[in-house]
Amino acid sequence: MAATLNLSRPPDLDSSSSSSAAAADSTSSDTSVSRGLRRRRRRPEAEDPVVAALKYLTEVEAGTPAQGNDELEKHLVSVERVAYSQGLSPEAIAVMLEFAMSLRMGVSPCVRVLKCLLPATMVPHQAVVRAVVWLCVGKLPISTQVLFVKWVLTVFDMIDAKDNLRAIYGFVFSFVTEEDLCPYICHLLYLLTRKECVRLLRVRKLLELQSKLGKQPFLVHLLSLYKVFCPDLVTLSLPSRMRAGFRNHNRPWKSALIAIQKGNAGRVLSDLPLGLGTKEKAGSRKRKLGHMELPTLTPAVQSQTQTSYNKAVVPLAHISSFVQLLENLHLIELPAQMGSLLGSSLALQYLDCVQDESAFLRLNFWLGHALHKEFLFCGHGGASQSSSEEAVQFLERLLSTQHFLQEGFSCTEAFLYKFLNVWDGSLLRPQILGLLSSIPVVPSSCINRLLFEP
Amino acid sequence: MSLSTCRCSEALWMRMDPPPTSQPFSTSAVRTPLLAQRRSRSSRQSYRSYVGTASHLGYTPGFTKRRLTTSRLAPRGRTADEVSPAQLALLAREWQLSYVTPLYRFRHGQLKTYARQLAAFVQSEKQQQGGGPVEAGAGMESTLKVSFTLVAGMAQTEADADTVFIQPHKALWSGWLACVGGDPDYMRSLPEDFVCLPLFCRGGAAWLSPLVEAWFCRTFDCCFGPLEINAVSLQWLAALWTNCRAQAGVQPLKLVWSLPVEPPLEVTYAVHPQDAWELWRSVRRPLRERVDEEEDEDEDGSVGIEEVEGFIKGLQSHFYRHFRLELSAGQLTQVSTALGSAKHGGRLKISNGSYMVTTLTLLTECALLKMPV
Repeated sequence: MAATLNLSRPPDLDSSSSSSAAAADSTSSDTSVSRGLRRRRRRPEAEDPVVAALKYLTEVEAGTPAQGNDELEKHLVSVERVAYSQGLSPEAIAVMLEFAMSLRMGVSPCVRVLKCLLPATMVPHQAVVRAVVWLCVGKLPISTQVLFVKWVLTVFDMIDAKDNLRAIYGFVFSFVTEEDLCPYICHLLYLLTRKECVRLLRVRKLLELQSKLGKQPFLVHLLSLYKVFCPDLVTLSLPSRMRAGFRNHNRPWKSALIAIQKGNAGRVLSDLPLGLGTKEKAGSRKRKLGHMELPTLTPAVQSQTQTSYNKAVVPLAHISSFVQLLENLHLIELPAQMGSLLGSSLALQYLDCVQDESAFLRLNFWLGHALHKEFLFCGHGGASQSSSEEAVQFLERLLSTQHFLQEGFSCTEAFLYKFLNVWDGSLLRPQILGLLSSIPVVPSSCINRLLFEP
Repeated sequence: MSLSTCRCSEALWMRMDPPPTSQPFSTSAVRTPLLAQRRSRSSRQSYRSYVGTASHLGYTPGFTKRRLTTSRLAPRGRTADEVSPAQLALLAREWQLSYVTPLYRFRHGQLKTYARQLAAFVQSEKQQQGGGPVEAGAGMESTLKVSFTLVAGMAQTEADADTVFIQPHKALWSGWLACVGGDPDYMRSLPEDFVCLPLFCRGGAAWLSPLVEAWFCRTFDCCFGPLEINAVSLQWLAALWTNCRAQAGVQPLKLVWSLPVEPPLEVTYAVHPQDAWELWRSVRRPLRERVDEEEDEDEDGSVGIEEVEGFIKGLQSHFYRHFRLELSAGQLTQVSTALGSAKHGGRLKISNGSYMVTTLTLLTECALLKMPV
């Protein structure tokens, strides 16, 4: 599975190779990267302090003292400032994580960096995998290891693709024997487990641990999940009544993450790589108007037809550039929810080529449902202040999509004909008029009847 | 290969010169570029156009007045024996109604797989939410089992899909998806990958409903929305349930109106079942006499919208005579008889197996009306 998904990734992590070889691999590539960067130092210094900080952190030699290092201090402060205000970009996360986990300047910057690793949008999975590699090298003190695993649990939903993490499931599992790490590793394994990961050897290991540590809740939870997948391998009886599951370990980052997400919530996503979904999980605040939220781009849950032809299918969620799209055009599989395509221009370009009527129908259903629910089915026209901002954003996105595709959707048309009967003429006028311009041409008699009559 | 689309100007398409009336529409369709044609292949006539005017593009404006079924079949009430055990689970519980857009790639043969996936999904979601509510009875299940069962015998036409009943074990929640007597033309117009089960009824613990809906949305790319029962449908239900004299004669017919005064006034109007039956019979008989070729018995045959309206008008005028309150100024919000109860907010209870199919046919129609495409 790791091989097929290897579209554009830094060094391969063959799961059968030993961890030391993998570590050596990464350090060699690391020096080549930094050598390349040093050559480009002739370029004028970037204005952005974060960029400068990242550059410094990439290039600093191993073993440079951290104590009393003003330059380091300055860079760390600027990064922290950005992190706490709006979150770090994926590239920044990758660089910072690499710097911290490689322990290039000792342990204290590592802890500080881990504490401020707050992603703005998503976390690149390659960075997490490399960090796990550094974890395997074994030079980190236990408390830092615990902090790192807690961080992975906190940002788990923001990791863009979990398949590579699942590919190194065995490595992650090997940490379960460390007593301090055990609860957190069990939680991480719980999130990563798929049916093929459940092996007799692993079940035996967990049972062994259980006899040593007693019936710890984290062990029992993981075992019960194994039982759901493979009931024949886990034969012990588990208690049917259990208290609430794993504890949340996100305390150092929780409040900062919530603040960042609230701040980013108003911005419209555009041209972000596919496969990312901003989960607006601002604590327990429920979004009343969830029907206008774009669903996240996930691979289709049921892919049935391809298996008989032995063809490797690439889910659209894994494509991250136009070149990849072109290379895999004949292999792409549509996502589980068609509505998620509206969030990315790359996906829309693919949509242009899709010939499947069912796919369009799905998209029309979702779009029509959202439009109807927001504007037609609500009590009195739904023009309340709180909903209008989201409505404006949604319509803007729909307009830009239709403009991009140079064609309107049929459900928009249907919706408009109904809506114009009840429209008061002033609600969201620019957007509605914009939508009107995309209606396909019809004979003038029909237009008269459908649109112009009051 | 460049996919750069030509950015034409922002001119409104409507301002283009309309084609001369003598030119038939078909030739202008030929001239549209291939791209537009391909996508407009997927543009389907809305559901209303099947029942509205006959125009090719017929998007009938206005969706309030029901122009659909003006007469419904009111079959002879079945005895309790004829209700299968699976259907018994649908009775005597209050359900909250929603409508569902058609499900993509839902296979009735894979119910066991779906049950497992749903159980795993619910569990993982609860973990992520940090344990969720700790309920007094059930607590947090370590292995939540869900069962999907087919409820046979509800499909009326060959286009109907079988009802699916969802029940997690040991959790006080259940739900079912149904399509009873749905419009066969609409069903046939859907591509084969889609299964139309537009009516979704759920009841029980409130925390499980959003999770189940989220799983459905994710797996079958469908959307859920609340289904209200409008006043006309409530009137239909009142008439149909009264029509079933044997079973309905146990409890009074109760109707609740809400009148738009300050403060809002709710009027509960309870009619003795015998009186209701007399009124209903008297409304039906004059109309029945006009159609002499009906050989059905009194309780059988179809019920027309005029009879329903006559029935309700009779009740309202009786009320007016006694209390000088014109009920038609308000809105009918609730109907309940011995056969069941229905509320405007979308709550339904079926107490008796008779007329279950007719009731569900009406509700399936309401759900299909809400389909966006």
